[in-house]
Amino acid sequence: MKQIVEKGVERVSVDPVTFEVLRNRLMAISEEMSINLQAVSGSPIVVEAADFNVGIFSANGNLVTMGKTVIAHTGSLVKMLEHIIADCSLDPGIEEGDMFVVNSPYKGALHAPDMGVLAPIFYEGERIGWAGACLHQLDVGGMVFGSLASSATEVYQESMIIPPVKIIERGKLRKDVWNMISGMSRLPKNFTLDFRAMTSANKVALKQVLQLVDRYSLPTINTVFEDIIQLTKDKIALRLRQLPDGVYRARNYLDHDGQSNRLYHIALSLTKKSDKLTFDFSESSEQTPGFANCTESALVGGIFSGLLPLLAYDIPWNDGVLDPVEIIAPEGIICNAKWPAAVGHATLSVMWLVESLVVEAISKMLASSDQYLSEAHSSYFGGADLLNVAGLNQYKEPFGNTFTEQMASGAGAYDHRDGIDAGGCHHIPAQKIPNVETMESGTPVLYLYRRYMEDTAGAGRNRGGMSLGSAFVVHDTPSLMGIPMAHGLEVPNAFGLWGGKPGSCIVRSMYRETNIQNKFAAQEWVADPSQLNAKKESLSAKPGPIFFQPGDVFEWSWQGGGGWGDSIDREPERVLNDVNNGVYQKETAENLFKVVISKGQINQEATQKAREEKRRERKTYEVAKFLPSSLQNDNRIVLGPIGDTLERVQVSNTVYVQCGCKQLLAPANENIKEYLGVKAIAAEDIGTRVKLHEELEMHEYACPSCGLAHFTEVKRKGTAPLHDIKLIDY
Amino acid sequence: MKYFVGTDTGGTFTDTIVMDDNGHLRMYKTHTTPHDRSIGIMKAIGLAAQDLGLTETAFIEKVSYFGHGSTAATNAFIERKGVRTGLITTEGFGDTMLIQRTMGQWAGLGDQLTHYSIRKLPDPIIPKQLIAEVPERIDYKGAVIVSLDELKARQVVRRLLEQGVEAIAVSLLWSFANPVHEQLIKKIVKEEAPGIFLSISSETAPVLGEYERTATTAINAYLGPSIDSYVTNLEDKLKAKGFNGIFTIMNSNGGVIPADEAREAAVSLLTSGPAGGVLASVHLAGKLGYPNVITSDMGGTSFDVGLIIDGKPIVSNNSEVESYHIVQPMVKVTAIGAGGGSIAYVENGHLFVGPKSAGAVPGPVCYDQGGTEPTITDADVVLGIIDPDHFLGGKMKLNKEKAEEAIRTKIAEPLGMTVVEAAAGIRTISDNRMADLLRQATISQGHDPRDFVLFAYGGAGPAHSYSFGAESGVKAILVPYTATVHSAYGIGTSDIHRSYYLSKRMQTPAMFQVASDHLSVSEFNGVFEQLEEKCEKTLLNDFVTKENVRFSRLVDLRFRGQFNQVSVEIEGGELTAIHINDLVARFEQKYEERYGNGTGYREAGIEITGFRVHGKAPVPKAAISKKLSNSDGKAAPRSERYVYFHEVDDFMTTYIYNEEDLEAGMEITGPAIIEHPGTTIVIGPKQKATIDEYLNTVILPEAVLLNDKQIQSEGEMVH
Repeated sequence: MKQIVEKGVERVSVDPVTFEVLRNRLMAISEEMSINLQAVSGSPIVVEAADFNVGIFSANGNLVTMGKTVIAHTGSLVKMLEHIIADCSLDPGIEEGDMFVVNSPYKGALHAPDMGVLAPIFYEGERIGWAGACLHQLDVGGMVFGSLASSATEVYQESMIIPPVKIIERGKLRKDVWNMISGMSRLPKNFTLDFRAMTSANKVALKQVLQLVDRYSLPTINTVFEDIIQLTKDKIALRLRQLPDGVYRARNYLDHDGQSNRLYHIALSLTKKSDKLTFDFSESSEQTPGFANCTESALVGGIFSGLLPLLAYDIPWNDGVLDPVEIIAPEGIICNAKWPAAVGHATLSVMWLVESLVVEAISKMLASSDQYLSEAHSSYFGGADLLNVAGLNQYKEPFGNTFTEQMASGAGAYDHRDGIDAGGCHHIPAQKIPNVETMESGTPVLYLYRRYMEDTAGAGRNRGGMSLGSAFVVHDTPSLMGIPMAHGLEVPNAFGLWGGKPGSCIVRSMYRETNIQNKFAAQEWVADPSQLNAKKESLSAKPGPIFFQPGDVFEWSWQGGGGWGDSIDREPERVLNDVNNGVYQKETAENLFKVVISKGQINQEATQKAREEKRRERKTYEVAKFLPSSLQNDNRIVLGPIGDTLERVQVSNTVYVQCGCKQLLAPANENIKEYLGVKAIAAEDIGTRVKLHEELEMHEYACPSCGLAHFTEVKRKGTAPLHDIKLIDY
Repeated sequence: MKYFVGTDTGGTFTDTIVMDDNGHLRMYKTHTTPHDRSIGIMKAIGLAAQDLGLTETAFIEKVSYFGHGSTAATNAFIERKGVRTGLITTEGFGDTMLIQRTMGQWAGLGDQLTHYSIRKLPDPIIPKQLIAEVPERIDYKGAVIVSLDELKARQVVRRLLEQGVEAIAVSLLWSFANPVHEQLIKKIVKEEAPGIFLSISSETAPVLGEYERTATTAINAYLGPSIDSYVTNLEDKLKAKGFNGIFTIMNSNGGVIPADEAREAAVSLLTSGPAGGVLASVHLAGKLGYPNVITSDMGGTSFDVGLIIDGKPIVSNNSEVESYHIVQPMVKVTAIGAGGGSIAYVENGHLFVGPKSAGAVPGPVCYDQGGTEPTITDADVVLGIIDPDHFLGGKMKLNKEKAEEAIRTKIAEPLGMTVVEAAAGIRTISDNRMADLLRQATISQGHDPRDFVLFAYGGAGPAHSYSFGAESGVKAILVPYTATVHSAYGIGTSDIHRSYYLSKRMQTPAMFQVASDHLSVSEFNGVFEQLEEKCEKTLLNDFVTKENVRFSRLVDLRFRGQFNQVSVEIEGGELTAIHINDLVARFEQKYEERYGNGTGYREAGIEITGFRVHGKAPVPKAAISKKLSNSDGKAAPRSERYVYFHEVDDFMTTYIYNEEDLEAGMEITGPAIIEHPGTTIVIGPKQKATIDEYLNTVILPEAVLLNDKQIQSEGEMVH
C-alpha cells in the first residue's frame, strides 16, 4: 500500500546486536512518549481509558515503532503524516523545530476529537524522521458537548476542522493560531493540557532519537529504521505465504444514520494472493446523509486495528504490517465518505464495522489453514453504545461525562475456547472500565445493578463472550441530559463462524415516572427495574438528546460475542454450567443448545433425543443444488480445513468441500451454501436479546446428510447468500 | 550475646542472615522445602548454630529477634490453595469480582499482550455460587438510601455456612464512606459462626473502587486461614527449641508486622519478596547517606527494579497479583523477564534475548542438567566472566564446552559470527534492555537517572551491573555486601510498620480562592485522629511502647476532572487552616514537579481523594558494624584470567579478587572481578571501585553516557 523504501537514505551494515539494542531502545522511547503524554494530559479518557497512541516514523513517514494503546490512532497518524508531507512541504515548509496539528477527518484524523500532533526530527539540517502523538480530546467545539452530534449532516457542523497547521514554528508556539484553535473548545484548559501532552511526548522522542543518532551515526539509525520495518514485512510475508490463496468475504450492517433508521451495509472482499492482501470495499452502501460515515483515514485505522492483533500477534507492530495491503474503496461509499459528509460517529460505527469485517475475513483465511486455525475467531461486539451526559452534577456544578463501561461487551469464540466474557474491544489490547463508585462520585447517578447479562453470548459449540448490562436512576440532580448513540439495536453485529450464532443486540430502556423514590422511602432496594411501576420507553439507536427527570431509570446492555460452531454440539455439561453461572436463562439454553435440564441436572437421554430431532429437522431443509451421488464413493485426498467442521478434498482432478461426516458437499470453487440445506430462522430462535431490522433476514445452513449447522447468516432480505470463501488454486 | 535473625523463603532458596550484638553478620543459603518451609528455615538455623559452636537450642534461646519473609501467601494464591470462601455484597453487584473491570483477561501478559488467542480469565477465587447478595444501598455521600435487610443478611450467612465456607468476605458498595451495614453483617456472622475467618472491606481496604476493594478483601479471607496455620507451624517449631524473642513477618508495604497480626492481614504478604530487597536498600542507603537510589535485583528469571526517593521507597497503592488487582500499599517493583536464565535465539537473521527463560530446571546449558537453549549465564561463562570451576563458591561445576557449543550452533553460525561475538551480543542486548528499564522507572516518576545511585543485587546482578548501570547513566553503582541475601538482610533490619488509609472525597469548587474555605479542618483532624488511633492500637504490643511510635500523614490530592494524583505529607498534631492552605500549595508545586511545568489545573478546583497514616516503631536489633580499614589500601588479586569486555571488543587480562581478602578502603581498578560465594562482581575497563566501610563494592562508572545534545528545536511553550 505504501512505498516503504526510503529514498536517498544512506544504508550501512548494522550487526544484529546493535540492531536489537536499537530496536529495544526505540520501543522504550515509544513507551516513554506514552508515559509522558499520560502524565501531562491528566484527562481520564487519556490516562484511565488510554484513548491515545504514539509513533516514531522514518523521514518519509513510515511508521517504525508505536505504542500498545488504541491501535487505530497510530494508523491515523500514518495518514496525517502523508497529508502533512503532501500539503505542507512547499508551503509553509517543514523546518527544524516545527510541529503540526491535525484534526480534520479528511486529513488523517479518525474523527474530529482525535487530534494529532506531529514533529519532524532534524539532524544537521536534514529531516531524518518524525515523532507523533494522537489522543481523544474531550471537546473540539461544534453543535454539542463532546463534538459528536447525532443530528449533524455536514462536517462543518460537527466541530472545528484543522487541516495540517504548523502550530509550532522553529520551536515557538504560534500563539495567535493557538488562541484561535483553543478558543473553539468548550474546555480550553483541558484542550491545552492535552495538546501539551502530545507536544511533550514528541519532545521526548526528538531528544532521545537525536541522542541515538549522535551515538550510533545517522546511517546506522536510518538502516535500523528500515530494517525494523523490513523485519515485520518479512515475517508478515512469510505468514501470508503459509496461508491459502483465496477470496474471503464478510458483510455487516448498520442501522440508523442519525437522521432515520435506514439500513446500510459494509462489504469486504479480501483477496489474498501469495504475500499480498487486497481489501475491496466497493460493494458497500453509498455514504449516509447523517454522521454515520467514515473517511479514508478511519478506513485505514479500521484495517490496521483488525490486522495487527490477528495477523501480527507475535510480530513487531509498524508499517511493515501494511506493506502487503492494497485498499480498493471508491470515494462516496459509507467507509470512504466524500467531503463534506458528516463523520463524527466514524470510530464507533463505520470504522468499528470495518475492523469487524477485517477480523471476520482474516479469520476465515486463518481457519483455512491447519497451522493457524487456532488464531481464527468469531466477531467481537460490533460497536459501542456511546452515552454522553451533561447538566448539573450532584455538587450543583455544570459538568459533562462519557460512559465507557460499554467496552465490557462480549468477545468472539475460538475453535479451542469460548469468547471472553466482557472481553471488550479488539482494538484496545489493555482495556478497563471504571468502577461504579468512580462513576457515582462524579456523575449524578445511582446504579441499581451492573452485572453480566444473561442471553447475550452468541451460541455455538464454543459460545461468544457475555456482555455486561447496567441500570441507574438519576440521583441528586435536578437536571441531566444524555445523548445515547449506537447502531446494532436491530443488527446483531457480532456474527458467529461455522454455524455459530451472533451475540445479542444492544438493548436499551427508559423507565419514566417510576415509583422508585417511594420504594427507597419504604426501605426497599430495587436491583431489577422491571419490578417498578413505570412508563417504559424504548429508545431508537440515535434518539438525540434525552432528558432525565428524578426517578427516571435508564437500563442498557450491549452486544455479546459471536459463537463458533454448531450450538447443539456443545457438551451438555458445559451448557448446564452456563445456566448455573447465569450465562443463559434455562429456557434460552434449552432452546439454543437443545438440552433438557430437569432438577438442575442434564437429562442425558432427553437431551440426546432433542438433538437428534433437531438434526433430523435440519436434514429436511431445502437444498438448491446437489452433487451427483456417484461422487460420494470416489477416493479423496484431504487438502486442508475450512474451519473445524469442513475440509477441502481432492477427488480425481477436482477439489470439493466435505462435511465432517464425510459427505461430499460442493465443488470448492462454488458457494457451498447453495449445496447446503437452508432455512430462515427468527430473531427469537437465537436468543431473547436479538432483534432484526425489518430489511434483514437470518438463515441457517446445514449439511443435508448429517444435519450439522455450518453457517448462520444475517443478510438483507432477498439478497444472495455471501460466498464466504473461494480458494484460488486450493 | 544476643542474636538477630532475618530469613527469607523464596521459591528455590531460603536466605538467612544472623547478626550478633556487635553487628557481626553471617549469611546462609539453604534449599527451600515447599511442602513445609519451616524445614529449610530450621536447617539454616542449624548451620548458624554450628558456626557459632552452639547447640540449636542454645542458639535459639539467644535469638531475641526473628524476622521472616515468605512467598507462602503468593504461592498459596497462585496454586489456589486458599480455603472455601463466601462473599457477601450489595444486591445487583455480585459479579464485580468476576468482571474485574475487564482487566483479568490481560493482566500480567507482558510481551504477549497482543496475542489474543491465548487469553483466558483467571480461575475465580470465589465461584459465583458462593457470592451472596443482600438488599441495602449507601450512596457516594455515605447516606443510607436503603437500610440493610438484616433478616435476609442472616439467611445469606446461614446459607453460605451450609455450603461449607471456611472464611467469609464482606464488601458492600460505598462501605468505606459508611461502614454501618458491613458492621451489622459482621455482627451477624459473629453470632452465626463465632470462629470463622472474616474480612470486612471497610476494615481491610477502605478505598474507593468496589472491584479492587472487594478483591483485596476476598483474597485476604481466602488466604487468611492458610497463613494462620503457616505462621503457627513456624512459631511452634521455634518455640519448641526455646525461642522466646520477637517474631515478625515481612509484608509488602514497607516493613514487618508482629506475626500474630500477619494472620489477619494475609493479603499484605503478597509480593513481599521483592519488597525485602528494596527495604534492605532503604536501610543501607540511609546509613550511607544516599537519598535517591534505584534498586535492581537480577536473579534467574526476572529483573526487578524499585525506586527510593528522598530516602523513602516508592510505594504504590494499586498492584496486580496473578491477574487480580488489589489495593494495599506495596513497595513498587517493576519487572521484566531478564535473568541469568533468559534464552537467546535467532529469527529472520536477528538476535533476540528473552523473555523466555530456562528457569531453574533445566537451567542454562552450562548447568549440564539438560538445558539446550543458550542463556545469558552461558554467555557469561563463555566470556570468562563466570569461572566454571568457582560457580556458587565451587559447589557447582559448570560445563563451558556445552555453553560454547550451544551458542555456536544456535546463535553464532546462523548469524555468521564468532562464538565470542555472539556471546558478547547476548550480553550487550540484555544489558541495554535492563538499562532501558532503569531509565523508564525513573522517568515514569518524573526523575532523571543521573541523580541516582544504583544498588545491584541478586545472584546474576553484580556480573552485569557495571554495564547496565553505566548505560543507564547513574552516578554510581553499589553492590551490597549482602547482595545474595539482600531480602533477608532487609527483613532483619526493618522497622515495624502499619499503614491505614481512608478514601474520603473533599473538594473545592472551580476557581476557588482559599482552599481552607472549602476543605474542613475539623474533618481533617477527625480523620487523622481516627487513623492514628487505629494504627497505634495495632503497633503497641509487648515490645513497642507509645513513645516509640512515629506517625507520618499523607493526603492524596488531584485537580478536579483530572486523573493523576499526588500524595503530599502534612504535619502531625492539631491542624489549622494554615496547614491546609499550605498542603494545597505544596500539592500544586509537587504536581508540576512530577508532571511538568504548566500541567497544574487550579482553575478546575482541587479534590482530595483519601488520607493515609503510616506508623513506625523500631524493633530492638543490632546494626551492621563498620569495618575499619587497617589495610594499606591495596587489594591483592588471587589470580588473573582473560575476560571479554564488549567496551573494548576484546579479551583483557583481568585480576580476580576474592571477597575474603578485601577490606574497607581498598581500591580496585577495572577491569577486575571480585568473586563472592554466591555471585561475581565485575568492574569494567576504566572503571574504579572502592570497598566501603560496610564492605559494599562501590563502582564509579566511566561515563559511557550519551551526549546530552541540546535540541535546537526544543522551544519554550507557555500557555
